[in-house]
Amino acid sequence: MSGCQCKSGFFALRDCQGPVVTQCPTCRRAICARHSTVAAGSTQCLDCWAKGQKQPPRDPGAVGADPELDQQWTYGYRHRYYSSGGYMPIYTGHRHGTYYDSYDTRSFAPGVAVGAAVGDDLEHDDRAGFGDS
Amino acid sequence: MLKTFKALKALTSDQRRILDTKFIDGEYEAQALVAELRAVAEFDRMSDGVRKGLVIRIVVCALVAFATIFMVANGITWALVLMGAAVALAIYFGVMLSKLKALDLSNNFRVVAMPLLAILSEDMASDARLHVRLDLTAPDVAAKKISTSEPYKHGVYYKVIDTTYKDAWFDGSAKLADGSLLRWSVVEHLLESKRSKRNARGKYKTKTRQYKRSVIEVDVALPKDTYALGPMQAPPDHKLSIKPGEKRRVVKLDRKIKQRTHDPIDARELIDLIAMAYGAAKPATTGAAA
Repeated sequence: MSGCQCKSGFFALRDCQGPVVTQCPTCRRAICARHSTVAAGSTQCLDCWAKGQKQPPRDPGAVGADPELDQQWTYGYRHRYYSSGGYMPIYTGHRHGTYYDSYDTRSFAPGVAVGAAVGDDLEHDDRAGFGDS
Repeated sequence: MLKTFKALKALTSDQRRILDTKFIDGEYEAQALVAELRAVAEFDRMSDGVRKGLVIRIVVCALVAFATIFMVANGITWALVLMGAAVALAIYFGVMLSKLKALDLSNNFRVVAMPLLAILSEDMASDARLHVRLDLTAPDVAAKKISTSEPYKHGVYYKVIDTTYKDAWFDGSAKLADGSLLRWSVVEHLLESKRSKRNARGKYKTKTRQYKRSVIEVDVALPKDTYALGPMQAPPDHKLSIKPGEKRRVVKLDRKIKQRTHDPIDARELIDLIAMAYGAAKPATTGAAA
């Protein structure tokens, strides 16, 4: 299996497929540069980094809070959102694994072909065709 | 304070323009936009903290200057130097304060817009563009004022003046990496009620009460060839409708949030609405996308 094994996305997860630069020492998954972060002297995947955060970062609007709304913040927020908000992300990729099972990820069944669009003649949206571009 | 002005100086001309105009309207690559706005947000955060400190310093300088009046009156002539220094510092801090205040952005930017844009950039292809319109002026500027009531009596208050504002500060649209189309808007109606009364000891007191109603609208158009739609039920304070289209089903969710402050809403309110639409989505299987 080649390519980064982390999943991109927030509302819908998808395969990353970035070029692998290292392996996460925690989950042993192959990760790309975008999905890796250096924490406590070692390189980790952003998912494991997020899971390892004990305290959530402070409100991004608070004065003096950690300022960066960067990849770390996004993946930390994603982990907390999935863990506490009752949201089960939907996975639209094809490289199935067990890493995201703890989030009760809803997944396209392996091997099932998707992409068969079925047109219909139902009414269009009243907001100038939004959804049909 | 110097750090804040250094951060201001380090901004690019585009970032500085956002601070000056307090308006963003256009199509941008999501990740590039977030990267650009991050420095603006950081400056705004630093500026908020520094402004609070400057107000305290101005008050301290004013108190020192006031105290020196008595010292000079009692013949302590060197207090004149102290008075001059305190006044000069107060003026300096006042100028710095007004400079930073002129560049202040609405807190909606850091609390609501930035988190949403950071999350959306994760859900979009790296070269995908989104349309964003952000009005970052304060919600209670004169341009957003709708009406000011005539003074009226209400209960113990002998004079009440209500001022209402409409702040349509955030909307946009984006195509997400899974083929879904997203459109959102946040419109806020603010009420500031100045109420004056006379208490039992005969003193006149005026207090200001703030109310806000935020209307959040989210449309998520889910591609039929990727997603089927399960049963959906909107929570009591939400409005839900599903519009079938040729290629996508459009899930429309509206929500009104009332609060007794003009503080920003929680970004999660907006994120939850989008998640609610995705919550009903399930994988489409071959031939079963209807």
